[in-house]
Amino acid sequence: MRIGEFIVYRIWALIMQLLGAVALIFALVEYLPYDPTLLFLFTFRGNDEERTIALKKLRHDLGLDVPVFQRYINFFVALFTEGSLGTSWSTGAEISDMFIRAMTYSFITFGVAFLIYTPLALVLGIIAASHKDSIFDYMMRVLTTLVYSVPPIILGLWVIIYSIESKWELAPLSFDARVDPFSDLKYFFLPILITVLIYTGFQFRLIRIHILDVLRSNYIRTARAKGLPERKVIMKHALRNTLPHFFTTIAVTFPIAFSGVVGLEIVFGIPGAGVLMVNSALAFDWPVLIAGTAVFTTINAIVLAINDVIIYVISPKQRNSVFANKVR
Amino acid sequence: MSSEKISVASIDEKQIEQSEISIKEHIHFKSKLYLWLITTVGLSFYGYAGFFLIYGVALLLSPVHRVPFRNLAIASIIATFITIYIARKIIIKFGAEDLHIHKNYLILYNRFGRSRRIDKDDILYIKIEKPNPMLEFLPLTSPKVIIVTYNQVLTIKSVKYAYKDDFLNYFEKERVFYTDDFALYFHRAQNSFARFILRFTQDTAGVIGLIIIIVFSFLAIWGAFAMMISSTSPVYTHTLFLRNPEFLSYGLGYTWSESVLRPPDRNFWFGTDFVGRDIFSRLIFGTTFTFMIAITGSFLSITFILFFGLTSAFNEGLWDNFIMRVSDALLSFPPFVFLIIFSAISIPLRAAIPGGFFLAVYAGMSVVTWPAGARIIRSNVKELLESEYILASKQLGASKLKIMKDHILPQIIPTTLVILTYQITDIILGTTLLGYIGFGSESTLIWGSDLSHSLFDLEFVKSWWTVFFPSLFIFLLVFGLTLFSDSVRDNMDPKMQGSKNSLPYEVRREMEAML
Repeated sequence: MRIGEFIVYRIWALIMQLLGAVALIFALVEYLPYDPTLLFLFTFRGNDEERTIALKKLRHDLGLDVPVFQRYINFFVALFTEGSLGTSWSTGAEISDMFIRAMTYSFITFGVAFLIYTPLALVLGIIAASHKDSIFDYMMRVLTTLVYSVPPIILGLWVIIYSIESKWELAPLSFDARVDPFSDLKYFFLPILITVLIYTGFQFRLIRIHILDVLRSNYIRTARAKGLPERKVIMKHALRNTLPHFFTTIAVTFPIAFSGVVGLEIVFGIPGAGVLMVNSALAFDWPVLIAGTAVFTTINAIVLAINDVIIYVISPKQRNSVFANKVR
Repeated sequence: MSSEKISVASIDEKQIEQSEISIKEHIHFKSKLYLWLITTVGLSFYGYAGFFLIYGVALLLSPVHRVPFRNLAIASIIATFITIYIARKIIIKFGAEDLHIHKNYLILYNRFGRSRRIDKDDILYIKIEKPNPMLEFLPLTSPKVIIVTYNQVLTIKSVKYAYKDDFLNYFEKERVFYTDDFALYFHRAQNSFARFILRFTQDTAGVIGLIIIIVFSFLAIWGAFAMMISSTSPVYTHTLFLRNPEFLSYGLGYTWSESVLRPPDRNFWFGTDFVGRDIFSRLIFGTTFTFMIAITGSFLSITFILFFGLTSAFNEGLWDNFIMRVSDALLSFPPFVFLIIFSAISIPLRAAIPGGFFLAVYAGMSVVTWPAGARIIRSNVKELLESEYILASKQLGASKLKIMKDHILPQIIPTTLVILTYQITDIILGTTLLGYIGFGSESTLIWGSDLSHSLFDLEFVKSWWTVFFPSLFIFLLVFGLTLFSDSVRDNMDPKMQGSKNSLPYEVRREMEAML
């Protein structure tokens, strides 16, 4: 497969993934054993006739009186002609505006964290792998195992408690969603710190294992045997072969820059994308859930597709597999 | 492989009979304490089973129509079958066996299980492992007799005295023996799982993890028993040192201000929360619910993982291709999206059944999160299918099912164990998050809900115990599971230490850790 064909195939696969994902959510929501419109009319007062009329009107207003397949097609027609994702049932606002607003918050927190933890984990991983079983390696492994087993919520809670006790004034009870997020940037410090702490641990473990795996191979032994200095062996021979893995690990964590870490967003009161999804789930707001699925799946799939193309270019060994996360 | 033949040409009938008698004297003797112990444990499990059965039927027939009652009844009837199974397993696996030696065959009599007959012609090798001489005075230590036949390795414990010479006297006269090398090869090949256990027990971190998990499972059993015995009347009740988790301590000689947010003391070990409920009891009942959800959910998902992994590895072509394309599509979803969608659609279950909401969510999750695990199983099995001993058994005409049962399944047990612990960890973190967000209900005591309750009081910084103990429980259990699964992964195969096989799962796990 040539590079052009590969990209075309990958884009086709991406479109199919998006269509399938949205179809899955439409089907799930449609064939539920209960009807959310009945729940919306739970407090309705009136006799049965009035109730039936109100239900009919509500279903018409929400657009539920058209068949599922029609709605599925309408969703994509509106998306590609007007660029709209529909309107929310609970607030009546345009969903694309809601997501842009929420993702701005998420991106300020987790995008910045991503920019910090990726190079940090890379450097730490290389150092730990090249000095295997040293004190540094051991300490890092213990630390990452510890961080690995604390859920972000708990870490966030304890940091908030500590910061309140020591009067740092860095932990707000919640962000004011109507105010410009850039006006109080200092409140983003703690969530960024915790994200960096947790994700450095994850990335570090993966990168260390990848490098150790390469260092065990025969050509590294040859390079050492011919007398190359260790620094050159690692920087020139080992790292180049772990590049595809680096890209995969980066691609896998990159989507959190948009979707956010739900637990941290809730603990720190950031009105980010994850919180938006959770709140719409609690309010039976199906359009927001469907739109969110489409948005996040698209972002995730695009990042993975770009990653696949990069791997195709830099690694001839893995050209046969179309998907990067394929085993062997 | 060096093989050395020992054969004795002349057979004296009288001599054989004499040696038979002498062996009988020595070998069918049991260590009585051991026998007694195992029989007691096994029988007590039958007793538990009977208790569960009676309790379950009584609950089903009871006039009180409360949903928790019916669920407990069903749960205890299921528990009946599980305990009967465990009792049988204990007695068959560890129970003492009588070894009777006849002229042409041996019979192993088990107390409650099957008796096994071994033809003398099948026996390749007999090895007697004497206990540590320093410990010989203990009644529990007894020499092990390992009998290697063509198709199985039998280990007979609890033989009081066994002398290698007696066995050799008996067998040498009849048949040809191969030397130790060949038999030991068989022995080792069939005991790779035993070797894995041996290596695992030498890893301190893994053992610490296992101990933490065992302690927590005892807490869960404690909570389950207390839940069964406790009465549903609103009167304040003590059951097995636990307090009614939904009951306020106001009115027990305490005023309102005394009962709310009490710091830990002799009566309330972990203090009370913002309305005066005992945090310790809530956490113990929370352990029970968490284990119930985690075990059910992880076993559901491991079923999907094993089914799709094994079938796609065995049936190359259309089915394999189809499964791989489906898993590609499912992997393109961010995992938290699935979690939120499944919790959104199962919200009406929140109040209906205790734990029903979470069970529904994780039943749904198991349908969509199998790809990561199934791919590992698939690649492992594909690698195994190319190995020589499986090719040999294929040549001998073994069916797919037999190969899967005899050769593949024992080999992928450690991998499955690792995937299972990862799933359990994910479920515990997920329930914590969902409980914290507010998806939990009052009838389901989840640690995450307790954590979020601690924030209801604006002075939560001062009442540290409301935050500390729930987070300690969550941290300890997840920490134990992580240590355990890391150790199992490192010890199941020296080659696997950080090899490519385990990576996709780690990558996937990293995505799921977004929670």
